[in-house]
Amino acid sequence: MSVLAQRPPAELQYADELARLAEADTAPRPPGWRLSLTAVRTFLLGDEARGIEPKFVGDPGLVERAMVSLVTQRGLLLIGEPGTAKSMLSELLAAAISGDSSLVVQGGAATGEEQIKYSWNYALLINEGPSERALVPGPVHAAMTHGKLVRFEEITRCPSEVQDSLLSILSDRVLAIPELGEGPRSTLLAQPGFNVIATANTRDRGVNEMSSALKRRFNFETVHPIADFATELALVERQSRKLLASSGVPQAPPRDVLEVLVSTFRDLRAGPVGKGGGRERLSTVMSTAEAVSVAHAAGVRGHYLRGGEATPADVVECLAGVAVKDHPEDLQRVRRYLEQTVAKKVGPAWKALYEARHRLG
Amino acid sequence: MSVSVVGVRHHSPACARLVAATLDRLRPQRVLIEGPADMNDRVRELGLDHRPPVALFSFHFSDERRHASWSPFCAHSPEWVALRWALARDVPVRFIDLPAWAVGADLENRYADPEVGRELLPELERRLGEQGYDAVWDAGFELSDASDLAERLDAYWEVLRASTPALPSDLEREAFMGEHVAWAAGEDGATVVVCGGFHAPVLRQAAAGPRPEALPLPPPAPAGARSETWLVPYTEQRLDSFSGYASGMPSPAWYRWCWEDGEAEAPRRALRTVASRLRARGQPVSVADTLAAWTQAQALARLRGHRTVARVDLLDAVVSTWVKDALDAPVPWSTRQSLPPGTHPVLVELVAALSGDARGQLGEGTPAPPLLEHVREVLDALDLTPRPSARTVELVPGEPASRDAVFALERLLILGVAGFQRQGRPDASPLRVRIRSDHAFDSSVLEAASYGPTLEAAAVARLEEEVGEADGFLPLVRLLATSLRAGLPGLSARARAGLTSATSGEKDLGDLGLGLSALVGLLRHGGDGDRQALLHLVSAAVERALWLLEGMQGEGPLRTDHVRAVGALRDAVLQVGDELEVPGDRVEGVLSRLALGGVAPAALRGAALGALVSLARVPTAEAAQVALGSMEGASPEVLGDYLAGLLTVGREVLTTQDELLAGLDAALTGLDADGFKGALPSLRVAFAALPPRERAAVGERIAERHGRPGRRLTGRLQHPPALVARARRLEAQVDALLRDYAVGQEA
Repeated sequence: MSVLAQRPPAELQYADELARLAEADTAPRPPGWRLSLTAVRTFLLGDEARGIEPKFVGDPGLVERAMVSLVTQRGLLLIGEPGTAKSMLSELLAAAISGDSSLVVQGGAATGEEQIKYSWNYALLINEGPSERALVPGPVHAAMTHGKLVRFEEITRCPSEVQDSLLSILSDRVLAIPELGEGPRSTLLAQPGFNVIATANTRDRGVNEMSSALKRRFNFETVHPIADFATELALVERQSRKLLASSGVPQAPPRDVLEVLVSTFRDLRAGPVGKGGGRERLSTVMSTAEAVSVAHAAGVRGHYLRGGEATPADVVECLAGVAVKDHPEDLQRVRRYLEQTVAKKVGPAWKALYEARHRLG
Repeated sequence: MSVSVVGVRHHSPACARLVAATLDRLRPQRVLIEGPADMNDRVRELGLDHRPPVALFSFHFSDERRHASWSPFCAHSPEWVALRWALARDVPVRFIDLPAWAVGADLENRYADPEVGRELLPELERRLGEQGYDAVWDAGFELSDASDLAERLDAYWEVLRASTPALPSDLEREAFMGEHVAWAAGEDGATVVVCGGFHAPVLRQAAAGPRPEALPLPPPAPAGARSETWLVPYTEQRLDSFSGYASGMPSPAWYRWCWEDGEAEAPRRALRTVASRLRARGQPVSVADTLAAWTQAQALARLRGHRTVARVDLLDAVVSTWVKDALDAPVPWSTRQSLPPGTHPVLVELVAALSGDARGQLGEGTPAPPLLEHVREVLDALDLTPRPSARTVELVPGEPASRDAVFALERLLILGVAGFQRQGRPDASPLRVRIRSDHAFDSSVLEAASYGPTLEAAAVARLEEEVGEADGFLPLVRLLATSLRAGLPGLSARARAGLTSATSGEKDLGDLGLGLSALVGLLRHGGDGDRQALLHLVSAAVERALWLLEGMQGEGPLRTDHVRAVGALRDAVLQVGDELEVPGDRVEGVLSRLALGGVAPAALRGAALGALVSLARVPTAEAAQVALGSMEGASPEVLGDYLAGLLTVGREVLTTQDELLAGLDAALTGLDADGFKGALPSLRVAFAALPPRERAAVGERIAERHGRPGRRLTGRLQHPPALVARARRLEAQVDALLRDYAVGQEA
């Protein structure tokens, strides 16, 4: 199926794969699920033999634990640093399990209960009074009605009282609509297949701390940056090639430049870790997504400014904008990294990176 | 005639069951086991009434080499099952492996897992849909049908062997084991060989090989060397503690439960244990939590196609349902690491619960390890034997006459032998130890016996264990200092590697500085044997100090420990000079950027300048100009801090450069009363860095500048020495009293 959209949702983008998986799926499916757990696993992690593209690069155990959590009576909370593909994971899970990743609550300081549960068509409300016709279902209402997954992005950015409105929904699987009077119409019972996937950002820790009552109703899964260098390098190469092609740049940055770029990001991300657990990380997150965007920018610079390939100097030029966002000290940390750590590395690309250190600005 | 080789994974209950079934089926005439052949004369000791885990501890001493090795057994070790089967039936049983000392490379844990080939593991993970070697093993072998286990294991060992390069030491050992197998093939009756799976394909071939004329004997220990093997009690914790390169199977308690109660019951027992451990720590674990974990574990097991809840299922389920925070690192069981500090408490208890806390006990009549006898002899010879009435011995380290006694006492203290108590600080001289007989003396020595047969060997092993557990650079340097005080130079490669990695992870500049100056001190007094290792450590610490210094930004309260760290760095460069593995221009580069950059705290800027001066990288006149420039217009506090840094590290600038003194004088006289008070604490630190004579000289020059020459700030005391001595004593008493009440500042 060809879809005309800047960014089609996962269930459309991978409609073909999902259809093939559903067709061949003989394993038992949990109530309300479009696919069995094994098929969902294959959809996310890929299967070369069956032409299923790997979509989530990371811990397979995490995917398994996440799926199992969604079958049980607890919600799933994906927590991690920005740029670790939490939202993508939640979108893919919703697309595979419910065939619909569009039921989304975007958490924020201004998110209110009505955006989550339901609101009213005020013309009808005034005309008819509260009725089922006048009720405008929110994502949670819709998900409960149709037995689907609802995604709650950045849940910890919502005020605590809004977060807590999920309590009875998660534990009793019931949404009360008192406006509809008494009787069965005033309680919406969740259909099988309903559950909540929330995401939260560790950098927001303490902004709106989750109540322990709500924490109890979620299983927490931490999404970590990609552990393996080669995997991350391959991902950055693949993604930056795609982006550069869309920007009209024919060639991806050379392999050694990408290696230097990804190593730099990994070094700056983790800080040296020793026995004392001494980490001196930047206040900015050096995520894989940011590495892709630097590779993209460096490629664009090389191609359009000099008519050549990206060089380590381009990387340095782009690095400052990425690494130094909120805190000027980060610039000093990056400079120290270039002065001391890069100085010791061997190879022409590292040497070029070191030579270009004064371009950091 | 027939030889059956059973290749096993050490400490695997599934393999242990397979060994038991094979023995019952074949009823062999003899059993051969991978184990130290120098124990063969005393193999009956293993049949006594022991409670595992126990271990064969082998040690070897000669002038060239010191080496210790363990062959640990738990109840579900295939080797243990085979031993006990044979000993109970009077079937001849032999260990067929080389003694640990005769193996070229250091064999620390005879029953460690072989490295799995780099290509093999990902392929196994992919095919079985598991992560990590232990999960692959559980799914493939522990939780599988026993009926064709032997065939599957054999097929696996063939693949493992083919895809994994053997070490030279493996080949040496296999040649020796192979001779035994070939010999047995020519004897009457059936033989069962129990060995690590990695060796199984090779030993099976050896059965068809040329038969040696006689039973091979282990090589005799070299002349002048002492090498022995003893049975010692062991603990589950230590079974699990070989994390890293010499690791065996993880979570001994989990597999013990699988062995004792079966695979279906083990996860229940594990969950109960974890819950009660957490509750004992005051962490709430509700019934709902337990239920959720159990549901999750079963669902994961079903998804992964395990017939019962596997170890990873349970671990994953508990983390999913009980941890309500983001984790700092991926769960440790997918990568086989030891837990880093700061790990989530649920994870810590979880891993500890599955690791277990069972302690082995030796049966009645097991020969006592030689340490007890050795300790008694040493104490007698040095007249240090504890008596009912307490006494305190006082010895000066470094004096040839007291050398042996100092070493012996320090080693006893390292091992925590009951009845010996240190008085005062560990690095105090003289060493003072309170000695008194203690009823726990024997048991504490027996406990220490698992570390080694002599005081020296045991103390080394104990220290190395502490090195493994120590957290941070400074504690490790202190351990290193302890080892030198106790006359135990050469800590093993592992200990040194730990120190190097702790150095690169240290984040506190003050601690790093303290450690660095301690290291430089050790280097100055250390023996030649350690020089290279110490040099390497000093270099690593210098490297780290440079890294941390370059990251220092912004003003804050004066950190004298940071200033001292710059001093330590300077001392290291001065002491070690060209032998330092860090190029001099890198040191200079960092110090210059620090001194001139303007982002570092004032004290560090001053200190960096001072260091450049005392390293003769910057002429004093130029430095004085820089210093004046930096102090110009600075607030009183910053001025004081800058000066404190400069004078602590490079006081020669002030004592030789009149211009700086003049500038400083002007700056200080320009301060109003409040400003002066603000600068005063740092100024005290600054001028305390000058020795009294220099301070006096500076004072006199200042007095001259203000037209009051001739004031003498130093001079001879006009009092009788006895009076001075009394005053000193009194002062010391006051100091001690203040210290007791925790009053007063650090010296």
